[in-house]
Amino acid sequence: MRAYLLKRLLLMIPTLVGITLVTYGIVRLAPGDPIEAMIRSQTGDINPKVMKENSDRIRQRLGLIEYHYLRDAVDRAWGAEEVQGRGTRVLRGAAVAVDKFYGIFLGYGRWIGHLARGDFGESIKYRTSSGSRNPLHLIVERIPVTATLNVISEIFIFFIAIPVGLAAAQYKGKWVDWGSSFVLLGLWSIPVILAGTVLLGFLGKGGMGWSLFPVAGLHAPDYEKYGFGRYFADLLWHSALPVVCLTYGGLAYLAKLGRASLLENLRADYVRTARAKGLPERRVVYHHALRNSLLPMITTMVLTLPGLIGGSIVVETIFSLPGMGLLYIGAARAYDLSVLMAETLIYGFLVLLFLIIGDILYAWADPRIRYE
Amino acid sequence: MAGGLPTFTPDQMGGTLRRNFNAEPQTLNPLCTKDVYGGMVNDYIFESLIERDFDTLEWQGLLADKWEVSPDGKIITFHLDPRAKFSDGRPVTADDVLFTYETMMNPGVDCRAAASYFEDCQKCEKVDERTIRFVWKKTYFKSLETSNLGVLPKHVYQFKDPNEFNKISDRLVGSGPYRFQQWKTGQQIVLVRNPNYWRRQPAFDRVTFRFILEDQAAVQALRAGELDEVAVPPEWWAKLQKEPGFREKFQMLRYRAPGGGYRYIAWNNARPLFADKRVRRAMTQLIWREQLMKYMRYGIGTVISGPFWTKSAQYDQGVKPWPYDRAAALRLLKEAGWEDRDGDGWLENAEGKRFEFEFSSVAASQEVRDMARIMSEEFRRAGIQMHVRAYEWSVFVTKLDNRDYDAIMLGWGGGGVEEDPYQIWHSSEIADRGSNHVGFKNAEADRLIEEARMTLDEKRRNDLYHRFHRLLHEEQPYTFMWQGESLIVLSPRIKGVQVHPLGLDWREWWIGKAAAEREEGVP
Repeated sequence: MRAYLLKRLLLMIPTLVGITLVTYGIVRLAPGDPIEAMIRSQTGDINPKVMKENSDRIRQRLGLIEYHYLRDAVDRAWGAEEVQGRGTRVLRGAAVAVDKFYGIFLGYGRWIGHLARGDFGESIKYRTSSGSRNPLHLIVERIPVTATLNVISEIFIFFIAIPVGLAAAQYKGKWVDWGSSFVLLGLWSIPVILAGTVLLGFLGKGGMGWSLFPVAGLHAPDYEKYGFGRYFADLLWHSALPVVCLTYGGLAYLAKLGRASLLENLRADYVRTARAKGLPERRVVYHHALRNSLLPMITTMVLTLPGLIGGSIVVETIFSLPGMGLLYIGAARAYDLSVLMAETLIYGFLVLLFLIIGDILYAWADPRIRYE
Repeated sequence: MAGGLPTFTPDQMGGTLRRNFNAEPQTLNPLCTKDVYGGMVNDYIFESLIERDFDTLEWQGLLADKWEVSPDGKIITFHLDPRAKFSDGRPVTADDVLFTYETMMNPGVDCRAAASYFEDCQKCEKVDERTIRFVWKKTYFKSLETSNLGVLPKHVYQFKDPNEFNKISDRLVGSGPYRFQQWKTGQQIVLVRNPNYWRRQPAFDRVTFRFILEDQAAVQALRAGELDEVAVPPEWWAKLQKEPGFREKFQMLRYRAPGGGYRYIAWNNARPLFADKRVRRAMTQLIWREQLMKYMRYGIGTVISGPFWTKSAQYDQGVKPWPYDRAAALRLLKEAGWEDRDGDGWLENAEGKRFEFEFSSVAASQEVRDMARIMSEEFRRAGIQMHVRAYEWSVFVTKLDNRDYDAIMLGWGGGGVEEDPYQIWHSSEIADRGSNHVGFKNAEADRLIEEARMTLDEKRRNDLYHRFHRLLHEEQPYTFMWQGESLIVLSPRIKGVQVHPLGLDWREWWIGKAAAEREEGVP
């Protein structure tokens, strides 16, 4: 088991390298010139000399240097692009591609080098409340927002979906079964953007219905003055609508899983034996079958844990929540490479880690499974 | 301006002005903000040497109480008001102005865009403690406006390494009426009254900027009394106009201030298809701008015939936009050699080539894509095939730089009370990826632009601009679509609101002591 674990942990390293390299490559290969597009959208159209100066500076700072060794060599050998024949042009195209990949690998190598020294780089778009532009600090500041919402919603999902799923299995084919299935699948098919807007309009303050919940943010503007009790109540009050948005769609999956899992166990031999022994039905279901059917659900839940820090872009936008989703999409739009890479690395690491934990839990819960 | 602003009674003082940004600023650097939001915050904290009167648009003193422009316009001297001081009590001196200039011009400071306006500035020099002089190499009517810097205190911002300065993202100290207090990520920015302010105090104790990203949420926050001011898009404006009782309760302000920019369609003049001005005019006359504006923008905006701010003296009111007229357009096209020769419903030229072109749009803009659909239908009925293609912004910009397009729809932002069309229309700006991406090349236009730049007399200069405006109207390198309007909804508790030609001046506003005491959730 220990050898297996070690092997799995070591395997994480090449996997992470792969994940980050692909991400880095995709960002670098994005068509057009993202740096100039970014400068232009920030400062309006500016004079080309200034543009060049600015974009060179940013490229330099981000380590996004382009190389033209091979291309220039081709041009030197066969003259400028305009006078080259078709064959040379193909060769030139290949040279440009090789140069591009060379630049990507070099840039990636530089990123790894900085990372090894604990340097995640600097965000060009975001800063923390204390003014830091370190991507790690940015992520740490935003994780609580996303995690708070996701943890609350995950608890709701767990305590609603599992009882419903089990009840559906127990009364298979009865109205509880098809009724719950109808409702949950119905909820699952409502787009979050619609649900969020409707909730905001009908339950949010200043809306068309009842002015019950705040419309933006996770705290009141003066929350820093609150004591713990009031702070917590304020937090719950602010998270109500976003949590509903994050919860309703996730119910169906877990409920269906619970139903299938319990049904499978109810058909198993050991349950028939228990019934044959004359145990009361309650005891058969809740003591014997239920325990075994919870196992796959727990491992499923574990695998969703890294998702807790992956924010929902839609929910965060509708309710103006400064979470991980907005950070990721904002960084992607602004070509904020250091933030994108830090997020990819951390998220990738957590997913891999929880995959291992999930497998271990599985083995621990089910004695039939052994890892060598 | 000291004369224009009200003096508040003690009962009118106090409270918080609660504004909203629909995105968080990237940085609050005193000199080099990267978006409009940073600039809006800076307006409360820093002051410039002079400013424009909100009604007459004339220059009047701010940090400088007197200024002189030499007859050739090359030497501009500012005399600082002896009362002017920063929020820490230190006086505003010529050294501070010089420091601001030198910081901006420092090649290591991330401020190259602003610095580029000073390319023709020979020097900025300190004459004495309270006098500063800008010397320009050329006579240029905008030199006074360009020399008008927002002044930073040298003793606060002095640096050795320019990167130190670039990294400032929330240290704001100026001579303005407010001081920076806090910027909480995802929450808000808080400014508080500068008790040492050297001029008349404004009414509010605090100014806050929340970051509510969704228009609907922002409008609801305004309705719930959590915000005092919300800028809304046209569809929300139309919706709120129709809502019973809303117009009576809230202050809905709609005005056309400078800086709003305009929208246009550029017909690549370098492409053979659009090289003929008759074809370009025909394209304009096939676009029913009034109708598009009515349906796509809820009728908010003004259809224009040229690039200047419609309320400025530069804009020639006598030049009316070409009307929508398919018959006239078809006539023009026929003159230019385009007609349906084989009866297939499409126009062809003498060589039998069909009239078709690509209309490139930015993928993210739903509005442009919708308009493109409507326009392509209109063109189809005239026998012109328009292929609509959407590109990512970064690809789009590259196409623009390489002049690799037939037609595009875009908007120019900004623009001031007075504009210099040089950057967009002069033929020297075609090369090197300059802003004349449409490839407009006209000797007469070049001459008018050059002459106007050096003409200090306003009347004569505007005559030149009127001629330039007419010329553009004839040539139609762009189809000028429309200028937008600012749409602002204010809470009923804000008093003293007036709409000026220059827009809204928050310094006139107040809520009063009674309303201030009812405020909740003050940070």
